[in-house]
Amino acid sequence: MLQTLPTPILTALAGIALSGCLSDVNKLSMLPEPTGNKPFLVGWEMRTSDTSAKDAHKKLYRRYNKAVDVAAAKIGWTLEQRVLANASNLSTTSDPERFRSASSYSINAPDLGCEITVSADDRVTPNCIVSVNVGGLISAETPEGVKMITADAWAFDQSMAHFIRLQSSDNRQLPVAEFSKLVSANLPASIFLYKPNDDKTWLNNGNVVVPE
Amino acid sequence: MKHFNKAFAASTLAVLTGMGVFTGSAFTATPIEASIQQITGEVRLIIKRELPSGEINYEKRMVPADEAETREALLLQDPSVLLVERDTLAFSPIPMVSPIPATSQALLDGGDPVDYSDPDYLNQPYFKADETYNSRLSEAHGRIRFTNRIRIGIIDGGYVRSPEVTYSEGSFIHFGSTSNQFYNDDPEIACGEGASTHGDQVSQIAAANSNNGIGIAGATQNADIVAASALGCFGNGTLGDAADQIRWLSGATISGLSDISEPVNIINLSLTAQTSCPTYMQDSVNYALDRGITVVAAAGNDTNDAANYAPANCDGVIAVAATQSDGSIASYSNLGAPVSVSAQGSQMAVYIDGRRGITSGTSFASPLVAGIIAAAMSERPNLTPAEIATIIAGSGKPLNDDVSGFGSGILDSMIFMDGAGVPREAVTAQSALSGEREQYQEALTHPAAAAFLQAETGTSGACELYQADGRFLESQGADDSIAVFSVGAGEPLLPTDSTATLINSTPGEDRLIITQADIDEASASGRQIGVANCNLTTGSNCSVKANVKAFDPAKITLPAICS
Repeated sequence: MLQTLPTPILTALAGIALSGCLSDVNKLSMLPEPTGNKPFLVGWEMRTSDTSAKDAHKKLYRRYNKAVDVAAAKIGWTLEQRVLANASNLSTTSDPERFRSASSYSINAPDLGCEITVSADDRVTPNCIVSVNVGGLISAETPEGVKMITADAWAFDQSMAHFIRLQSSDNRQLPVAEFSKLVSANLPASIFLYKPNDDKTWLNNGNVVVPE
Repeated sequence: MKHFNKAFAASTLAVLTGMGVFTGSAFTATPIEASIQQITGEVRLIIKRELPSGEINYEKRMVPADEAETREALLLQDPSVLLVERDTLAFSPIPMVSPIPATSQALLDGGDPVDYSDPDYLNQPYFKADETYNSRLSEAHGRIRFTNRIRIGIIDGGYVRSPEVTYSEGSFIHFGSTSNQFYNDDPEIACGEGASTHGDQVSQIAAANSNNGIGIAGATQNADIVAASALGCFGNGTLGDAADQIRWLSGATISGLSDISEPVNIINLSLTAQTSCPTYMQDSVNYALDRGITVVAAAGNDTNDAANYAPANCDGVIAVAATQSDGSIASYSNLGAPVSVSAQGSQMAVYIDGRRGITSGTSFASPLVAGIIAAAMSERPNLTPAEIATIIAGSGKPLNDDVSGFGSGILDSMIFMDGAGVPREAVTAQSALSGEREQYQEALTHPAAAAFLQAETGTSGACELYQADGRFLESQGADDSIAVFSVGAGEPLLPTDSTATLINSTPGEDRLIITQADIDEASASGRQIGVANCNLTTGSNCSVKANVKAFDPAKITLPAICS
């Protein structure tokens, strides 16, 4: 277990993985490697004495989305937020392992062949998207105010992953590595990204992390 | 269908009276049907006697009606008397009025709460009987045979292989990907560990396999669950994919998918997106509604106005808000004008990854309502979405809370079944000859009696006559009728239904006779037979709640004389 503060966070991008909040890069050797059929990983150290998992969740969600927005602007893409069903549908369940939020963006990048079409019946159909999913935090309390007992622990392998994922519906090649670095560069230094589907490396501050 | 006039019952009884069949309370007749007994106060006995010479002789005696039984018994003690019959105005349009057999009993069948053996059944308060603030589903299940399989489409994400839910088929539509595989661990889905199991939990609430030693009992039984994944592995997706799944479940061809084997009857959408109802979603909902498919959706979990959340805000959708088990509103539930009805959504027991789990949300209130609708449709498969919406609007009861925007209230499944025309109980048919004395066997085949029966009823003998007893209907009034009627297969069991055909009725009475031919004719065409005690002219009190019961011809017990 890491003993450092602030709360460490690991997140995965699909192609990009988020990790985070390590106070000392010398401890990077402790970063986990994904096992099994898990596209993404998330980890953090829960501390019940300060920020609740719910607040942490909301804060992370905002930071991930902002990083995606800035990265897309820098790479020259125009993003349009998609209307998601159940973007936070499970946030009110009393099952804390399923506390999560999600957002998704259509990408308009003609040079990549990524286009957004709007049909006569208002349906928006992209062929390239970037998805942000924040889940797996153990909530300190349910949305109905029921206090939950939580322990200080790394929460790797919790059921709902954090991830930022680039995806095309037509198997179009997308610049995952470049975008991953830009996202990482726009995240706080405490957050690390993992690229399980690319070269299985960690990113921090936009750079590949070299283990000790 | 043969229609009998009121005189039929009384005239038939008159024949039987003449044979000394009936004892007990008087059977009231209208003045024009006054009997000779009423007119003269006497009964004419016909005595069949064997003379010492071997010759058969008939003699007739007029005796006071109140002495007829005693006189018959005395005569039968005479060894020379072979038979004593009561004369009747057998070929008269004015039949005799008779007492009716005291032995006649209508047996109650069904209507008692049904319990399940599933280990978490006791953690499903919405099944509990007599609950003021919940759906008391165990009582409703006591009224349902679940013989018709109803198909429920669950548009969601996160379907797992589990003994709790048996999926008949499914599909996957998610951001350009389509597949007829839908389980989390299917190769084309490949969600990996820790993926959402939301869709499976929703399916469990609607129709979990029951009495299987694990988990919970479903809100309906014997249902086909069709998994229509639109939310992917992490529980989110787009309304566009959900709209396509509505069409697929409704029988439309969707590129990349095999057509569904048969359209579903009900679609549940435990998903919301914060938007007005998009045109494509409304069009898909309309597509389903036009095909007789009811669409149920969660109101949403954002403590907000449901009018801002699709598909709950789409026209024609039954939107469901969530309550706690104590009848208070769930703090997270969206409310507002689009909400049609409320149901328990908090602290819902489910079976997750082989373990007991508790989950909450309008996601789970919605399939509870969908399951209750499916249960009703298993008895009334012809219910249309519009009819269901109307019944829902009248089937809610007040919340234990001071809020508004919860639709008609907490869905009471018993009231819903009443509205759907599912009878609370059945009365069992009895032979009109119940309690017959063996001595009168010959009278049953007496030429005069047989001819009368045949002329009046088309039957060859009294053994083909059955009695419907209205005394066991809960409410009787002097202005009401006892009526035996039939309705089309799957139609509400109401004498006022558009498919209803009256078999026989008797004003102001509590018993009447129908024939085996009536039963056979109704049964052959799949029609259902009911007994009503209400005002057939105005339709007043003609609801299944108290005054209409099923007539169960399957449990007729004929007396020995008919065998």
